[in-house]
Amino acid sequence: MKWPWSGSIALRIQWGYYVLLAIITSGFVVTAIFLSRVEAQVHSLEAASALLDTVLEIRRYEKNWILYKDQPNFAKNQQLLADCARLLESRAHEFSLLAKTQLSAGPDAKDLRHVLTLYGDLMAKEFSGYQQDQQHRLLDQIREQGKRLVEIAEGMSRAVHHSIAKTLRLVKASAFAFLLWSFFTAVFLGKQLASSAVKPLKKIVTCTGKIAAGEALLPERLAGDMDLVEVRAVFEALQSMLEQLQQREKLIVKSEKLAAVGTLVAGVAHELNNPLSNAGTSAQILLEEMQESDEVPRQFQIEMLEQITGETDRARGIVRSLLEFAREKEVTVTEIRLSELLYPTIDLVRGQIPALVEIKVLIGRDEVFLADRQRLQQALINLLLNAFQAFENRPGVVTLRGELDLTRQKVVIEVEDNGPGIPEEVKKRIFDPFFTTKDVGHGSGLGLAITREIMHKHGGEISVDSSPVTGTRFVMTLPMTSSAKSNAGGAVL
Amino acid sequence: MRSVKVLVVDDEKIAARNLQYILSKEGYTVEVALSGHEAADILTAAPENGYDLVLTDLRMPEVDGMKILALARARHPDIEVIMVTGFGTVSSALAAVQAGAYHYVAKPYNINEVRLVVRDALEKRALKRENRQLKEKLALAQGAQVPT
Repeated sequence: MKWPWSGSIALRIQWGYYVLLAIITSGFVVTAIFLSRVEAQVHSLEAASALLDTVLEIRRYEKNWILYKDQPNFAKNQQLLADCARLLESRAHEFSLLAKTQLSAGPDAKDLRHVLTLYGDLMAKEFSGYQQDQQHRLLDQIREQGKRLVEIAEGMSRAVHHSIAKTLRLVKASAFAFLLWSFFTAVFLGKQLASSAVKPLKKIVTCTGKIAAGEALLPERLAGDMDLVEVRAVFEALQSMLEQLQQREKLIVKSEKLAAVGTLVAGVAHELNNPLSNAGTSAQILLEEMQESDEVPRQFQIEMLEQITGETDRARGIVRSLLEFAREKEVTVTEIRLSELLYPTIDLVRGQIPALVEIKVLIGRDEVFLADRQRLQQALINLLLNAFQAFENRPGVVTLRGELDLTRQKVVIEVEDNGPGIPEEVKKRIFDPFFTTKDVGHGSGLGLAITREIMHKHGGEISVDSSPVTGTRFVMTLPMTSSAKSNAGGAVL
Repeated sequence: MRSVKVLVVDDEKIAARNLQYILSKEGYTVEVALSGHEAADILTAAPENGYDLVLTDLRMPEVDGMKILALARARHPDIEVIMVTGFGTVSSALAAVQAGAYHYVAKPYNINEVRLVVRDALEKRALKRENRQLKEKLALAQGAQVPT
């Protein structure tokens, strides 16, 4: 459902404030209503008090007349009766309100008016009768009605008191209820707002965590969950950052490849120097001999020339393998054997082998399998260079072991060194792109990531086990009939 | 006087044989070791100062040129060692010279250059030996005079 506040966090906060404002306003309105009611009741109280005073005065002059039998007291009594009737008339509104608020159906203004008339008539009769024969006849009735008058007036006054107390209690209760209501609403809204803002943020945090862990994520799927403007904005920013990151990663992978080629070139240059030097020396020897004598033995000439051509071939082979390594190609599988993979790879890194490190190559079954030779060479070179660096000028052995597991139809290639091993916390991140333990500028941290990528492209995997006692062993396992995987979802290597 | 004995050490057979050929032509007795280990064995087995000169490749697996330099100088005090270096290892060769090698030859080399360096090294060695022998004679002569 589309609520006006579901569009953004800002709208939600705005609407939250509106709701609180409405509650506070309604609280004030209710309080104001109660207060105006109290005000009206205070007026009623005033009227009731005046009424009670008048009734008491009526009774005082009634008693005075009975005591002194004089005309002024009777006249005062009659005047007060008229006042009382006027009062009932003029404050009819207050008394009617009073009647409304009275809970129990007690005596009201109407009763008072009735008793007042009755009492007035009795007084008038008694007065005229007394004037004629000096005899009291209706005194008991007058007293009874007078008593009733006082009772009614007192009852009305009490009722007003009760009503005011009740209203005040209501005001108190409503203020308390209002306080509770605003408190819980504020807490509820706060919680809702916090969760509506925090939940997507948590999601973003989870996503960034996943990105940091190197997981390829589909930004469209995540953006689909987002209905809040702000969250969408953050996600869009994140998405564009991710795209840039991937772009940059591609560039770095490319430059890493170039750097790897550079490293190899340095090594290969050294390797190339040996056959060139040998060929050069052989040529110089032959030249010298031929300059010194016209009869250089034919066998010697052939031997020297064979040396020259042999060494030239060797140099050409080195150059060719470098070119093959450097060439940018999609994964293309060909039929190869372990011996065709492992020995030429060793030749490529021979220049990088530290003086004190010995290399052993152990090949089991050497039958053909399908794989991309250059890519596997690249993967192996990364593992070998890592192994060499582990020794840091200490003596050691690097064992390159290749075996075909015909029952599982797998190729298993192991690179094992008896170096110092990899610390546990490093091991966890060793295949992460850009993770490196080398100094800045000495390694991009992509070597092992590329190796793993190459394995994945072959439908294979790579694992590592390491201990400070036995050293480190990388195991690459790939199907014997691996087909080229597309580049989708992975960096172009 | 016995002929000059030279040991050539290189794990590349062709390189070692070529050097042997070049130096043999100069009249030296040249032996070849195709690995650091082999060279170490030969130098250890030989009598003191049984070799006059060692030409060794600097970069070899396990026992490298630096190790051979140390071993040769320990076993044969008068010996001279010349380093043969490949591409990119000139700085290591200079380190070897600082550690006591006579000189270094960078591959690819001119064969006459190698001969010249070897000749100079042997000349220095001869002078060193002569100097030592004279000093010994002098000491002997002085020692003979002391009791009188």
